[in-house]
Amino acid sequence: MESRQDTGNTLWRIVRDRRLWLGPAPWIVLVLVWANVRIADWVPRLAEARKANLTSGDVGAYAAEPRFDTTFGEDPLSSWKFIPDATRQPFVALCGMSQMFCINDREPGDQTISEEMDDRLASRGVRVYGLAAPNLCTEEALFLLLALLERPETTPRAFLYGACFDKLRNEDLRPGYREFLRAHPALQTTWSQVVREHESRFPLAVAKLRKSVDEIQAASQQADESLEGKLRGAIGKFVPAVSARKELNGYVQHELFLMRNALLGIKPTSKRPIIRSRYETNRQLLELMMEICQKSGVQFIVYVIPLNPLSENPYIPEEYAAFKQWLQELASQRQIPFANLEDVVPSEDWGEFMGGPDFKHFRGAGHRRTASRLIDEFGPLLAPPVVGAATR
Amino acid sequence: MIFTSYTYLVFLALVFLAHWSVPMTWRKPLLILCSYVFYCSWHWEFGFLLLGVSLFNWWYARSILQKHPTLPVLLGGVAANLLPLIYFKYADFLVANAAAVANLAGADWHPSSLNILLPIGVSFFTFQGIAYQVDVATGDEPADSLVDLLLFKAFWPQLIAGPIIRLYEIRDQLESPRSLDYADVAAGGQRILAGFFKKVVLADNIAPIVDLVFLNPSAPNALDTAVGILGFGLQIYFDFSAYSDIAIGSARLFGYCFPENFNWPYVSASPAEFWNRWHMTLSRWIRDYTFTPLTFMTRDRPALGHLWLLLAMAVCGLWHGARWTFVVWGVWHGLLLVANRTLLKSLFPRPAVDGEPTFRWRCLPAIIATFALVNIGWLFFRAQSLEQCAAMLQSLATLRGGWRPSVIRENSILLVAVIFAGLLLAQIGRDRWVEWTSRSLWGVNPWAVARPVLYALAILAVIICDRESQTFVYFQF
Repeated sequence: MESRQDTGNTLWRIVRDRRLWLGPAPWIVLVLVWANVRIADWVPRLAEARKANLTSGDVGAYAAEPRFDTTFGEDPLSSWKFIPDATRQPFVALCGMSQMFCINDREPGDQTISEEMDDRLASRGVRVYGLAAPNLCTEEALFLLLALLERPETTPRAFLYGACFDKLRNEDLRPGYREFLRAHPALQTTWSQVVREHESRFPLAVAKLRKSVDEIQAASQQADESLEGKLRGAIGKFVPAVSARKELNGYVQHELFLMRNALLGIKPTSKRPIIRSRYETNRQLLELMMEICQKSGVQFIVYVIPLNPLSENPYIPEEYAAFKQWLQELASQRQIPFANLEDVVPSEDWGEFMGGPDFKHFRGAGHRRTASRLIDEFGPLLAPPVVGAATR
Repeated sequence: MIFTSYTYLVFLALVFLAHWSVPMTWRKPLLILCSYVFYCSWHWEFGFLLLGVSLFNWWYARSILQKHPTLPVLLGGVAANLLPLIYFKYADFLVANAAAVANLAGADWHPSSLNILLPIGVSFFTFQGIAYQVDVATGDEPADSLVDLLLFKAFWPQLIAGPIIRLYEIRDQLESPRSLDYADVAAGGQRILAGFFKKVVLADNIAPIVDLVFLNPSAPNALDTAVGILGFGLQIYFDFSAYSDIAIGSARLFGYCFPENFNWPYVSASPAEFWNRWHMTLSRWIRDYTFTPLTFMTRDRPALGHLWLLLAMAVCGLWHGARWTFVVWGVWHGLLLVANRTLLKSLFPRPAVDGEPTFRWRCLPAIIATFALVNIGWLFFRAQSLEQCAAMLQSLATLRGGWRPSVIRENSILLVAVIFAGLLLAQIGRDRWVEWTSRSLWGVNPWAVARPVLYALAILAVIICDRESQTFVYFQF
């Protein structure tokens, strides 16, 4: 016969057990509390440091109405409203990686490429808006293009893309873009339509796009409205490690990355071969962008970004030469305007990075030179030759 | 409700508090109710399936099988248990293969997919039901109480992905009142934490690398293939053993001791030893309910034993999924086990006896050989098709691409290598662990000092690596 006298005694017995209080449990709790206090203190500082890192300093220098995505792809939902209204005035989208917005040794009056171009083309009745993010890969550029094409107000006259060779080894959408896609079901539909329409011609690109949209749709189903999501949110309010887990994960990954570099002697200029499958996928994605632009009546323009002529870069020369040749031939085949701006910025206009010359980011003068050259090369395509009033 | 979700932790805590607070007579019904809540959190409709299977087994074993323990009656019980599994898991596979055969014979039959939703855990509770029927038919007493049987079938820690528990293994625990003390809570908590760490920190971080190799439309180079296979071997081990750890730990919090499911399988010195250490409850099931009966029935023709071994392992493969790649995986292991008994007998030493260290240096060549052969098997297990298996094997055999990967990054190779090295060190050092942790340094036991910090770090690592509760690999089986 089972006894009823045991009711409630088991838990009380365990709570009174000396081993509970003298064993590791209190120490574990103590270490966790200490860690969470540290994390709570560290998260705001991390956010500041990240923003400073993204922009090479000068965090608070943006105008009330920025002329490029000042969230750098982290929160496009909030920056999208600053895109000029294309139904009132044509605009050009300048898209690419961190070179577009990062200014080394920033001085007063320095501006990014897109701001320089905006200033110069405003007098011709055309605005320029920068959509760049660190290490922006081709899939992300395609995402930005499709997102812009969703509404007439954001459809650009021209989509100017700065192609960076080493970005053809990356893929995937960053969390900010995923969130944007998740929040726009119509864009998901367009994305799926692109997948269906181009499956046979761009199988690698389409496979990647399908994977991304599938992941986003699956994530939507278990999103924040679910019990699990609410629970995480609620626990996150009391446990900083839970609410800051993504930032902590990024931080740990960065530290591991630095440790790997130190252990294996990898420098920013270490020669590293391109990953073939990703390269092929990115090439197809780039060609797909050209095709979508041509179908939508948007002028696609591509250029090879400037590189520091005096700095070593991590490219294997034959691979890089083959890339440039392929891009030029593809542009020629598809009658896409193309320019190689590799040597446009002289060595004195570049800054330093990790103790050596920066091979990809320049000072303010570099931004001015690149903007000038882009206008020289593609001016008639970006803005009509007829002079219009500056309306910015 | 995934084991590594916050929802599960809250569920576990609430049920734990309720279970040990209510009168003892309510405890088993409470656990049954909570098990059904747990199971129905996926698709509530399948709760009726589980209840139906449980009630059938209760009735059939007591009312029919115990009174008429004949082979046809037993086969009737086994077939009834198999019916849901065949319908939900294999109907599409059977129809597709029937169509393929019919088309070969000249017919023009192209059936569309049946799109049947697979009830989670159906493979596990089916095998449990078959074992129960066979055990009763061979003389075991059926469960005395319906409550005990319902709990035995539905108890959530083992419901979805094992360990596959048989009634005799847990009968005493079901029939006697459970008790709990601090040691149970500590041991259960440690197992759950170990499971979370293995799953969230290790398996889930390897998974994207493995997916990249096996789900990539581009053909991988030899290095990609090798890293992908090794990565999958690690992923499935950490993933599945993590599930077993959380299951065993959770059950312990309610006073139940489940049998172990893994015992350092990658230090096995032979394929036979591997199956004594890997998914131990399944290998025992296959041995006791497939291989042994077949061998017994043909005991006058011992040469057939090898054939039955192959067949038993093919069944084991098919149990994992309705795909030919799984059957090939099972047959591959069957071949290894046959070779272990015959051609390669001299290469593989006898299995370790109790008390012998897990890792033995003198067995190193056999351990390496077994590890390599088992990993080749993982290629069949993970591949999407037999064509992919062939392409990847060709890539390996021809050393395509030399040392250059075409799919994965060097970071991925490094991560897999570091985790593999960590597992290797843990396996080698495991037998000295107890000795190391009991040593004292200047009058202080360093392990006693380090342990809370390590546990706290493990908890933080789980929080940081958490990717919104990824599902376990074995859920699909």
